[in-house]
Amino acid sequence: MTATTTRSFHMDAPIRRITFREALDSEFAKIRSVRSTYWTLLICVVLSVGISLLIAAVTSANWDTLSATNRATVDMSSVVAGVYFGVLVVGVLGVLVVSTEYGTGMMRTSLTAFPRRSVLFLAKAVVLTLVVLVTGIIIAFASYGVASPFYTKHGVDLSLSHGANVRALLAVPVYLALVALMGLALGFLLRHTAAAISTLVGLFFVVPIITNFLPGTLGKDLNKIVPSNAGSAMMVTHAATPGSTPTLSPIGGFVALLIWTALLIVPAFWFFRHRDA
Amino acid sequence: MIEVRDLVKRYGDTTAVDHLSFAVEPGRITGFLGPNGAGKSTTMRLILGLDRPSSGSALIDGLPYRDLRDPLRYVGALLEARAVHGGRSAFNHLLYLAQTQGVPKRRVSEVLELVGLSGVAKKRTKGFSLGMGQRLGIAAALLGDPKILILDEPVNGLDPEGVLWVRQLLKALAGEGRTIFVSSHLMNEMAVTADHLIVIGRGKLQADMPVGQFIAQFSDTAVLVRTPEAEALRAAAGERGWTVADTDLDGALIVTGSTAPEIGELAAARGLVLHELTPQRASLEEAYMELTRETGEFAHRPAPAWGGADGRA
Ligand SMILES: Nc1ncnc2c1ncn2[C@@H]1O[C@H](COP(=O)(O)OP(=O)(O)OP(=O)(O)O)[C@@H](O)[C@H]1O
Ligand SMILES: [Mg+2]
Repeated sequence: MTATTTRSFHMDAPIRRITFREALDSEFAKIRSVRSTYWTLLICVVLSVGISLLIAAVTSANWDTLSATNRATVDMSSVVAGVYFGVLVVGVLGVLVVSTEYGTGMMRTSLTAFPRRSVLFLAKAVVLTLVVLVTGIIIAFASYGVASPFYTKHGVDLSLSHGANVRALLAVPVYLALVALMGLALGFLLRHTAAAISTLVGLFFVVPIITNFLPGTLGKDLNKIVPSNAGSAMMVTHAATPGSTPTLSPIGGFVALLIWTALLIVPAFWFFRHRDA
Repeated sequence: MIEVRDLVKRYGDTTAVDHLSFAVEPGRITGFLGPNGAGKSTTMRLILGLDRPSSGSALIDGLPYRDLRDPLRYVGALLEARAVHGGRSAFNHLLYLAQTQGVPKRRVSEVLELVGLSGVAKKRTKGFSLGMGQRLGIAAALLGDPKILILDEPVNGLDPEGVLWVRQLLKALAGEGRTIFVSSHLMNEMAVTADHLIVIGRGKLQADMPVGQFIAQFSDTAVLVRTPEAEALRAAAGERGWTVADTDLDGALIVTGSTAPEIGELAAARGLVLHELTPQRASLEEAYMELTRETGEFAHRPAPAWGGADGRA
C-alpha cells in the first residue's frame, strides 16, 4: 500500500473514443452483476408460467361447466394468461435499472463514464429490452409447454403451424419488453423506486379497474386502450364474441402499447438530457 | 488543466456558485476550500458535466467534459455520495467501470491493492464502513490512470492513518505531473497537503494563491513572549513596527508582525531577558474562518431574540 505504485500501464496509451458499443458492454455488465436482476427475472418466469399452468389446470377441470361462449374465448392468450402478472415484474426491473442508480449515486458515476446522455439512455434501453425479450421468449414457450396440453385435450387448436398462434406467443416477449421500457421511463422521470413502482402498478392494475366501470362508448374505448388491456389484446387469436368486453385487435393493442411507451419514454429522454444528474 | 470561467449555478433562489473563475494547474495539488454549503461539490459537478451551469463554463484542457474522448482515462473523480450499488462486490463495481474504459482486469486488482481493499474485494459493498467506501471511491477514480483527479472530500471518514495515506498518495500523483483538485473544509489539512489554494464562500471566490502566500498573508505570525522587562521589549518592538498586545495570561505579551527568531535576536541585541518565546499555531485555521465567516451558509450569528428578530413572524 505505498503511494509510489500509482504509475501504471497506459498513461501514454492512445486515447480512444468512447463508443456506443462500450456503453452497451458496461450496461450489460451492470445488469449481470446485480443479484436483484436474477431474482426479478426468476420471479417473472415462475409467476407467469406458474399462473398460466394454474389457470389451465382449473379451466380444464371445469371444462364441462363452461358455456359455449366461454369455451370460444379459450385460445393462445389463455395459454400465456400468467403474463398478466409477469408484466408488472419486468416493469419493476425496468424501474430498478434506473432508480437504484439514482438511489445510490451510481448514476453520476455512469455519467462520468458516458457523459453523452443519449448514449447512456439508449444503452440502458437496449440492454433491458434484450434481456426482457429473451426472458419473454422463455416464458412464452415454457407456458406453452406446460399449459397447452390442458386445452388441446378439449379440442382447442393451439397448433404452432397456425401463424396466428405463433404470433400470439411472440407477442409475449414484445409486450414484456414494452412494459419494461415503460418502467425504465418511469425510473428516469421519478428517480425514486417506490414512486415509480406505485405509478406502474396504478397504470396497470388500478386504472383498468376504473375504466372497466366507466359507462358509455367513451368508457369502453378508454378501457380498451389502457396498457394492460392493450397488451392482452396482442395475444388474442379468437374472434370477438358477442357480449364480452370489447378489446382492440392484436395489432391495435400493439400500436396502443407503443404509444403508451412513447408517451413515457420521450419525456423521460428529454428530461434525462436536460436535468441535473 | 481545469478552467472555470465566470461560472454560475442557481437552484431556485439559491445561488450555489456565483461568478466563479479560476484555473487548476497540472503538477500540483490544488486545495478547494470552503465552509459547508460554499458550493464546492456543486462546482465539481459542474466541471464533470453532471449539472448544467446557469451561465459560464467549465473546461478541461479546453473542452467541456462531455466532449472529452475517453473521459474516465482523462479525468478520475470521487464524488460526495458513495456511488456504488450495495449489492455488487467491490471487485465487480470496479470491473464494470473498467469495462467502460477498455482497462484490463488486472488494473482492478492493482487499484484494490493500492487502496488496501484486496482483502474485501469479493465482499458486497453494502457492509463497507465509511472509510472503506471512501477507499473504494478513490480506487475507482484511479482506475483509468487519469491525468486529472477531482476528489470531493477524499479524507472524509478516514482514520488518521488513512488521512496520511491519502496525503502521500496525492503528493505522489501530483509529482507525476497530474492535475489534482481536492476539496476540503479543513484548512489545516489543506495547509499540509496542497500546493495551491482556492477558497470560496457562498459560491464566491475568496482567495486563489499558493499555500505559502496564503499562510503569510492570512495568518498573523503571532508569538507569545514572557519577559520581566515588558516595557523595554514593547519599545524595541515598536521601533521595528511590530505590534505588541497584552494577554490575560499574567504578564505574557503577544507580538505580531515578526517571527520568534527575529524577536529572540532583538532581545539579545538589547540585552533583554526572555522567559518564554512561543510561536502561536492556531492562527491559520482562524484566519480561514475569518475569511469565510461572513460568507458561510451556516455562519454562526448571535441567536435571535424570542419573537422572530429576523423579521419573520
Ligand atoms: N441539487 C440541489 N438543489 C438545490 N440546492 C442545492 C443542490 N445542490 C446544492 N444546493 C445548494 O447549493 C449550495 C452549495 O452546496 P454544495 O453542496 O455545493 O456545498 P459544499 O461546499 O459542497 O458544502 P459541504 O462542505 O457541506 O459539502 C447549498 O446552499 C446547497 O443547499
Ligand atoms: Mg460538498
